[in-house]
Amino acid sequence: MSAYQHPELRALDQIEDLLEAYAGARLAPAGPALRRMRGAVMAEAKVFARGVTTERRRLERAAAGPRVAFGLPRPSMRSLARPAFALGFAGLLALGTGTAITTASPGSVLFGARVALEDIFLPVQIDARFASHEQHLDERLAEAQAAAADGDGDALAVALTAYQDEIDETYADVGDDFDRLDHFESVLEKHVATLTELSGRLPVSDAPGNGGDHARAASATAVTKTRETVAKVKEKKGHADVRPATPPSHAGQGGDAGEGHGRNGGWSGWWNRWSNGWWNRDRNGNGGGSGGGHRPGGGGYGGVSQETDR
Amino acid sequence: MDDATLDRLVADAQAGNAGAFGAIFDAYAGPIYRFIASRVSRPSDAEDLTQLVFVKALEALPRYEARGVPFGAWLFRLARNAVIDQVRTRRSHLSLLAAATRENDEAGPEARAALRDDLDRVAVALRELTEDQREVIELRFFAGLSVLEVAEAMGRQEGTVRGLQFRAIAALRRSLQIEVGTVPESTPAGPPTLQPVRVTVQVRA
Repeated sequence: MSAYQHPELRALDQIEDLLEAYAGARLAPAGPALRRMRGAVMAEAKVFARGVTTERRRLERAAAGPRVAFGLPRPSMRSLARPAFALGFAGLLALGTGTAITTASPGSVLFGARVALEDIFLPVQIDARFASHEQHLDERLAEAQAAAADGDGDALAVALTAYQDEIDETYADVGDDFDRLDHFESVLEKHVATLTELSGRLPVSDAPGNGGDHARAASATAVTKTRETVAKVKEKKGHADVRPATPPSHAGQGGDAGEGHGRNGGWSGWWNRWSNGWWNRDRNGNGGGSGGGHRPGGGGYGGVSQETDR
Repeated sequence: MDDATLDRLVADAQAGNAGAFGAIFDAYAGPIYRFIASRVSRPSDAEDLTQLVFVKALEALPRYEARGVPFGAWLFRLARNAVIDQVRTRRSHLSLLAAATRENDEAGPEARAALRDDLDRVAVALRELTEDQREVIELRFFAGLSVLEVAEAMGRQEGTVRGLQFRAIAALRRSLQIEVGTVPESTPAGPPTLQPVRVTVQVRA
């Protein structure tokens, strides 16, 4: 019974008790639900925190930058800070809805969207593109290892399937450059070792059709696929142009820009290199870039970008 | 959590301290969820919306300034808007009876049945309130906000909120037959009435 003596207060107390009981019984969140919500929110909070730190450092660097040329006064921090901050957070807001996608793990329904986004935002320039592919390969492998550590066979299978897709895309984009092929080969050989070690750690005694079964199948396929790709890369290296010490004078070899997407290997790649180099010759009659590893003047593969759109 | 601690946490969160925002989540997730759960029909919707509210709070955090608007009220304003958008989009009807009762394993079947009946009557009584009256009850009693915070969240004056609460409580008393100064009893011919006893619920974790 209510501790209040006044009848109005007693009635109010009873109502409050009923409402509290109702909220506790029917409205309170369950423990797993709270943990899920907290996990998702904290992932967003960490992205937000990184954005704040990045923006702060960028503003500090801008404040410490050199004076603008021609004697114009340097913009003050105060005039820069607000619009820069607003732009930065406008970017964060614009990316807010995509954050869940960009942080999706192989166990998430958004993982496919994340992989698709990574593909859309690949750089056009071949070296940067290849570096992105390499990063994605490392990430897929790390996600597979994390899924294995968590005992999530399905997530492991998803990560390894995405890894194999990434291998195909990387191979399609690696081009004919010898150094790049060589680097790709060494990366894949390390991955073969990692995948073989991962396969060895997977449990054997599992009922068929469950996550463990998928994981073992995906792991075996991934090892085979990676070894096959190493072999293909070695074969391609055998045909790849080793970059000459000096570029030929009669026509420039415009670098690998025309074969940036791996579609112009072989004779067609040679033609693209020659034709691009012809148009990109500098005043010395050299090509806009050499067709291999040399980059005179650090100007990349061509005096004018010849990357084609995908 | 006192106001000074909350202000410090908000400032730290605005400065990029993810842990501070985590502490804010821990303090407000339960009340936000309860408020939202009272207005949507499915626990999964309540979970999604609660998560959305905190993500929106993160996005809007740089713009928050504690000039007379308590942080809790600001947060519940976001929650309120999220629920309004959800209801408008999905045309979902309030279903206060939809949520299952988390039963106390230690109580006997008769006690559990009696509790369920009582809570069902509370749900029906809440549905008979006006929209504003129900919202005041949800923010005051389910979310635990003060009158000032409720006023800020709803965009109303404090006096208006007090009036709405007074009328809501009176309506609930009538619906639940909790009369002033009397202890209602069930009669053989009439429907069973609510016993004015203190109800304790042990929710299974």
